Amino acid sequence: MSATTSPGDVFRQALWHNNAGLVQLLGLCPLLAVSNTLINGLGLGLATLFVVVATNGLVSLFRRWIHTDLRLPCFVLLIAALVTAVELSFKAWFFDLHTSLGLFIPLIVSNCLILGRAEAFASKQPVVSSLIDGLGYGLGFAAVLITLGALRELFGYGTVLAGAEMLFGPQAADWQVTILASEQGLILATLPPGAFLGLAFLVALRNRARRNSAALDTNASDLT
Amino acid sequence: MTSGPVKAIATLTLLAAAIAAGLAGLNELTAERIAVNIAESQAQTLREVLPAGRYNNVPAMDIQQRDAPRLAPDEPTTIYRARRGSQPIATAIPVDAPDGYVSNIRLLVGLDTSGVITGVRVLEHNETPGLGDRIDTAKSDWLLQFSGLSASNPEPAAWALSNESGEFDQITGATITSRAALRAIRRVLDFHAEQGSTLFGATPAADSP
Repeated sequence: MSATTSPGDVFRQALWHNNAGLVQLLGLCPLLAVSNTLINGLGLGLATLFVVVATNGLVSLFRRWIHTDLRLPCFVLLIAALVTAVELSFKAWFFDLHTSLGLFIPLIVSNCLILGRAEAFASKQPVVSSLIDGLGYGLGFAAVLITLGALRELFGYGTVLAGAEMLFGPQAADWQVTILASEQGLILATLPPGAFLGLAFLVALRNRARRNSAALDTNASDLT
Repeated sequence: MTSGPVKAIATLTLLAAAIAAGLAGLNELTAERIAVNIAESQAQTLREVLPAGRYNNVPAMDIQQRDAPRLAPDEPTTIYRARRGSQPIATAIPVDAPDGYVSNIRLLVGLDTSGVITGVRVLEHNETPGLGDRIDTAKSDWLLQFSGLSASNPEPAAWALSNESGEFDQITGATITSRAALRAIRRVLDFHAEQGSTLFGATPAADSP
């Protein structure tokens, strides 16, 4: 990556051109497992966003002190610490959501997206660019989680925003929108195969959008 | 960047120490809130299975430990007691249903002193989303039908799913889940019938001669 890359380019690369969920297909384990409702997706998306931004920032800040041979243990240590902090905070302030996300908060540690950005970008770039990079990748990943969560919730349960009170407090309990008031949703959508099919659908949509925009703007420079 | 293993190890050690200190601080900051959340979540479930307004103690604090392999094979069962003054009112008994479709289903069954069910809730389950997870009262009302029933209502032969000529309709598409829950509730009813008032004793019955 050239040193002259502008912040806007860094952000666009991270959010869209190299989107973690739809292009790099990183972090599929939490992406597929937790995207069963919009709120679960949003909760894990926000947690991942925080960890990737904070990791990128800290790694970039300390990049001159971290010894090259020991950088991976240092990065993993940092990520594990941040995830532990998120885990404790969720338990303290979003207890129900923590129960609902279960094992997947600690598993953020193993999301290759985060270690990947620390190693490939933040360890070589200044703090501001690294924060923007983290923000872009984190938002991109969260957007896929939220979209997939909303689709699966809609088809599987016929609702959107069920359980919003877990994240936004008791006044959010009536945010739930019931669109298909059917007893039997499309069970497939709530099961793991539904997650794979939904993700495949989103990847296909993105590929199509990308091809169309490339066809419209033949001068678009492909930075990947 | 100066290299050398000593400096590298020193950096890693320093980093680890700084992180440990930071996390210890955060743990200190959140520990109390987390403990309150866990206690509150447990108290909420107890309130749901015990008869509201009929007791005035704190059941979460009034407990008895029992070894009851039928209810939980591996660990002692904690029984919660609800009283009004000194008068026994009801108990809440957790039970494992290891024969769930995916894995163990853990229920909490509330019973008054005459053995009438005052409420049943799921404490833990991993049943299939959209099918077996209707065992959860957040997803369907199936588990609510047991409130008000007892070992003799309906008669013992009818304490089974309708496809086994019993009186209870199974959750559609989740016969195994339904059967596991039903049988677990029956085990609690049997346990309660056998133990009766000893559940309100100060010490487990096993301790008495």
